[in-house]
Amino acid sequence: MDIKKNITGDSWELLMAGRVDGPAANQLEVEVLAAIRAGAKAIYVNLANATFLCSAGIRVLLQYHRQMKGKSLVFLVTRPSTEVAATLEMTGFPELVEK
Amino acid sequence: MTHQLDLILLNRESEIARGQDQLEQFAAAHHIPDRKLHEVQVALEEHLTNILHYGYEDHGDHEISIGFGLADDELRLQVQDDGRAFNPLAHPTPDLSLQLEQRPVGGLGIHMIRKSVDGVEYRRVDGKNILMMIKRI
Repeated sequence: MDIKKNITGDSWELLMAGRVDGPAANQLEVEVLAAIRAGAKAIYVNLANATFLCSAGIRVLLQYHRQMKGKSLVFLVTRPSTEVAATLEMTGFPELVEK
Repeated sequence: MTHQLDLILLNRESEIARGQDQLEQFAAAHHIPDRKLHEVQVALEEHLTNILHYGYEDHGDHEISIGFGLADDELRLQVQDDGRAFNPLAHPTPDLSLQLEQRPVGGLGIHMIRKSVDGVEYRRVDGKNILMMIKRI
């Protein structure tokens, strides 16, 4: 999966399309770690074009949401597709989504 | 009338995507709505991932048999593997009421399987796990 990046100052947007399966979750983690190393203060994972989100993907989102929040930084999902929103609701993680 | 597609996957991560591609093609051929397809895909992904990550005690090749069957507005997805005995129905449901910071990250996949389909049946037969996931279409 190609993960596109929009970087504005210290705010990073990572855009994922298609199936966010195990390998895509690993790729996301690599990109998130790169953003953190580069000093990102806010990371937004845009899932508007994601067709599904597996539990490995949720684990990456949860782990870095907690880590960033613990440092008073921002890590959120933006514009989840209907499918992704349903999965986050089903697993009890709607707070991971930007309001 | 029953429509059936059977396939064999190997115990490799890349094979999960092949199984998902086949499921998408089967769903398209039989006009299964996207929302239903998505829910079945979640269940398939999580179950195959569990088999690959926890099912085998060796590093050898293993076959995973998958059958998609569609009849009477019901999609039946059977997955058979020769990994260690594992009944996902025997695992407790995660506590979704905990605060985000306190939520454990494990156990989500099995919860997602249960919530994504309408029925799950498990059998252990001749050293094989057989999981049937049933989705009303």
